[in-house]
Amino acid sequence: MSHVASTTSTTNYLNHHKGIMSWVYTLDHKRIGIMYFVTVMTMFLIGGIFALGIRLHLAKFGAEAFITADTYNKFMTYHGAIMVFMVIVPGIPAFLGNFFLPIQIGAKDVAFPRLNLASYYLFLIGMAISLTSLFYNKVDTGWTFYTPYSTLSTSNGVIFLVLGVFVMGFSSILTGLNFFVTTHKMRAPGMGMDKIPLFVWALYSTAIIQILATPVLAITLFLLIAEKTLGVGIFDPALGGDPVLFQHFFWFYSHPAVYIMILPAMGIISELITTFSKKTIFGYRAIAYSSVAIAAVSFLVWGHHMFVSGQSTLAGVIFSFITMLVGVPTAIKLFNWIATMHKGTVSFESPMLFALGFMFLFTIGGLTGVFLAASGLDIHFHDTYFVVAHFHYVMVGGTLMALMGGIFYWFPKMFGKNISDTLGRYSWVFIFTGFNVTFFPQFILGQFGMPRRYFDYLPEYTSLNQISTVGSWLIGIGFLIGLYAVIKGLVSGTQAADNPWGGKTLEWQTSSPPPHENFDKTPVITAGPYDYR
Amino acid sequence: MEIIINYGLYFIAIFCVLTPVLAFGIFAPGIASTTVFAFIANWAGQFLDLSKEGKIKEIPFSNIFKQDVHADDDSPMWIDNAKPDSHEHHVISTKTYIIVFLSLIVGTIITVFVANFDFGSMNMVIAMLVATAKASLVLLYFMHLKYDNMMNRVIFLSGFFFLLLIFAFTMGDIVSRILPTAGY
Amino acid sequence: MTTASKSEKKFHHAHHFDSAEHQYSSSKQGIWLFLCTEILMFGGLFVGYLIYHSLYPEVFHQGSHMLNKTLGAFNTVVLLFSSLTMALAISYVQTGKRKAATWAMLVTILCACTFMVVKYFEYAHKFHDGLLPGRYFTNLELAEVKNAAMFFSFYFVMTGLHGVHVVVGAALIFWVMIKNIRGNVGPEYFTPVEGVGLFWHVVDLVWIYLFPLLYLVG
Repeated sequence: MSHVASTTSTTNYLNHHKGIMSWVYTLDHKRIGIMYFVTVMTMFLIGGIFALGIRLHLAKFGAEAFITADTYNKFMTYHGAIMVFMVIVPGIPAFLGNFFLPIQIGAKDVAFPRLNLASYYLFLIGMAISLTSLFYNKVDTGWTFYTPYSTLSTSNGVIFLVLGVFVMGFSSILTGLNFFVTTHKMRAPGMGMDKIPLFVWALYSTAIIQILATPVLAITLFLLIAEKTLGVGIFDPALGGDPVLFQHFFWFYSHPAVYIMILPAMGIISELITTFSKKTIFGYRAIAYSSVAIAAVSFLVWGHHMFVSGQSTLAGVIFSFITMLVGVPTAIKLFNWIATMHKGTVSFESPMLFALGFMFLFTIGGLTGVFLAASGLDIHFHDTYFVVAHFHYVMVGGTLMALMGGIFYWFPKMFGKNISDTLGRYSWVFIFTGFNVTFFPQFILGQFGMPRRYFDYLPEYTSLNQISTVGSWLIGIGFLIGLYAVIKGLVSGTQAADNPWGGKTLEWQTSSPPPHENFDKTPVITAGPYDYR
Repeated sequence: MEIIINYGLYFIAIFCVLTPVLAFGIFAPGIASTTVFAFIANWAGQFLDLSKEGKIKEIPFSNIFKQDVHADDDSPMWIDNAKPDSHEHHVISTKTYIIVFLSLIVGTIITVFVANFDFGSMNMVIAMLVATAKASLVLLYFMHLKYDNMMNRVIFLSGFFFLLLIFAFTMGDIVSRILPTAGY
Repeated sequence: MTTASKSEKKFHHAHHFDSAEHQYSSSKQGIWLFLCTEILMFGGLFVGYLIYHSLYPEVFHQGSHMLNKTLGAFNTVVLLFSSLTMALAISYVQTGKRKAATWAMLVTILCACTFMVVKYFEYAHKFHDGLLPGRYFTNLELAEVKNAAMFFSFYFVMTGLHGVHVVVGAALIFWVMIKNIRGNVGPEYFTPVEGVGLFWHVVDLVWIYLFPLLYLVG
């Protein structure tokens, strides 16, 4: 293991160039990552407000409904679209990935820094276009824009939202392209693919999915806009089209997309578990290859979103079978993490709490996914709150937990200041408890048959809905505590050491915050990434 | 007196009409467009500006993207100081290109010719085969894949492979769902 | 006659790369990845086309009869020729033949313009005959063919998107041509030329498949 002594960093990437224009035109992947952080977290706040609105309505605390049915449809659409396209898909790759991928492989920057900046601006432009639909003609189709409702019946706001997502898709493609080439071409001397950290393996697999799947989303959305404006009729039965074709095309992207959301999160967990167990990761190769396997198999399972769409039974059977297979690599990772902790020196700082929370919540989410994969069961569960609970367990309980863990873990490195561990623990308690209180009842509701995306429900579901709403407030408090911790750390955090957690990956071998070109001298690698002895 | 009033009225009327018409209708747009076009021409002209030596000057905004210079720093990280590697780039000869082009033309002729006959369901297959043959020529020679490394080939061909995936599964659904009921 | 030496002193590889070769191979890989995404994007349209073709063979058969095969074939030859000139342009840049490269690129752009002009005439003819996509379809000849508009929906979306790529490609070739004129590319740095050339070849590739599928097999 080779590392360079870090100089006391009076110059680092934050003060290397000064002034707002140096941020607007920056080519530094670290600054671009920070900009993504701010943008994504802002959108998370907005999407979260829609969520709180939904839950407030569904709690039926008052005699009058909180919002009308139309407004409810719009709330749930924007909650979904914002969270999926503007928070979770870019979330970890564009923020922590941009910041740490080059550092963890010992590079000075990503392969195409200008493309990186272009990705960020495309993201902003796409966001702006999408959000104009909020002011023009709000969309109420749900984030999946199913035809024929989105093409024939609903307002033209769909065009703006979809166009914005189209542009954000290109941001995603270019980020993926950048990461792929960076991982292949920019590794430091001595770092073979078998020595890159698992976070890099995860980002690499994510990049493959981004490159291969997102173009299909692009053409799907393009066809949707064409259908709406030119009436091309590809999805319109009256003109000979097939609405289910839209679903095929849409889910060909959107299923791999959910793996874009979760793979980087799993990469972070691998890093956290190994650092806070002070032990080399168990099964490095298995975890690495399982990331690639998940990326590959994810392209074969999209039909499990369409079991009741009218697709043929044959297709249903095939998709069901392959979906069962895709859970296997994930389970491999989980068992490897547990084995890593076994006989390690485990400490429970807040990043580790988030990692453990991930393991618990993602297991539940993942297992319920297997229930849904069985097409027979899915007929009962489809479009109920069971599905809603499932994907929130994996996306919030999974990705967002990992994101919080990553923030608390890498905060000292990114900003050179310490973040309060106590606040982190409080945040975790509220998020973890609140999350379970919100979403576990939804499994039960779904099992009883309460449909999703409905603004009203049968009276017998009321008490569980109310419990769920109280949970949503706890989650909100948890994330607000997290926000407070971040701001407090930025404003008044104490000076951070170069390696506060005793990590072995390359980012801990340079100063906090890192210098402009990441390292004072290009590192030469002689050992694996988790070389604890 | 009446002449003045009569002709004066004409004069006033013409003057009061012509002035705004000329001013707003002709001069102002003229001035505005000239300004805009001159602005554009000036802006574009900076790209064609020649410096003293007769070489084109730098693009104005390019210094945003300028990288740092480390002429005074000896550490091995700044490999700017290293000498450029010699590398051979296989250059395909003009003759080869022309032969490939002629083959493509032949392929096109074949495609059109064969389209005049009806082979039933084989129509599509034959057309795709010929198209794929032409595409392969373009890929191997024009796009240089024959002399390129394996990674680039894998990258590009994986695109086709995944396309095949979406086609296979979706077609599978269509074939087993719609075709049987549509009576084809 | 080689004018290679002018660009030699100007080119300096970007900072985060180890060498010019490193930058070149990384850029190439990046471009191939982008082309892969283009294939997948157009591919989605092809998948849709093939599906509806198998569902409504009659619609596609009749529809393609309304297209002008001669113009389509002419356009194919134009694009193939432009691919040749682009490939030649790249090899001229690589061997330092700057003027020849400029001419080759100019010819490529002219071919692109020719393609678009022919396209314009084809589209004008369709508009005139009411052969329009989806709900705008008003043609009387095909009135008894149910869902005839479907063919034209695909025709316009596919050739339209392809046309956009032709125009963008022509603009990119123009940009690279300016670089060549100024001596910013040469035998030791020709990555932008090659990249744009690869993009142009993909545009040609798409047309190689579009032509038989729309004009002939229908």
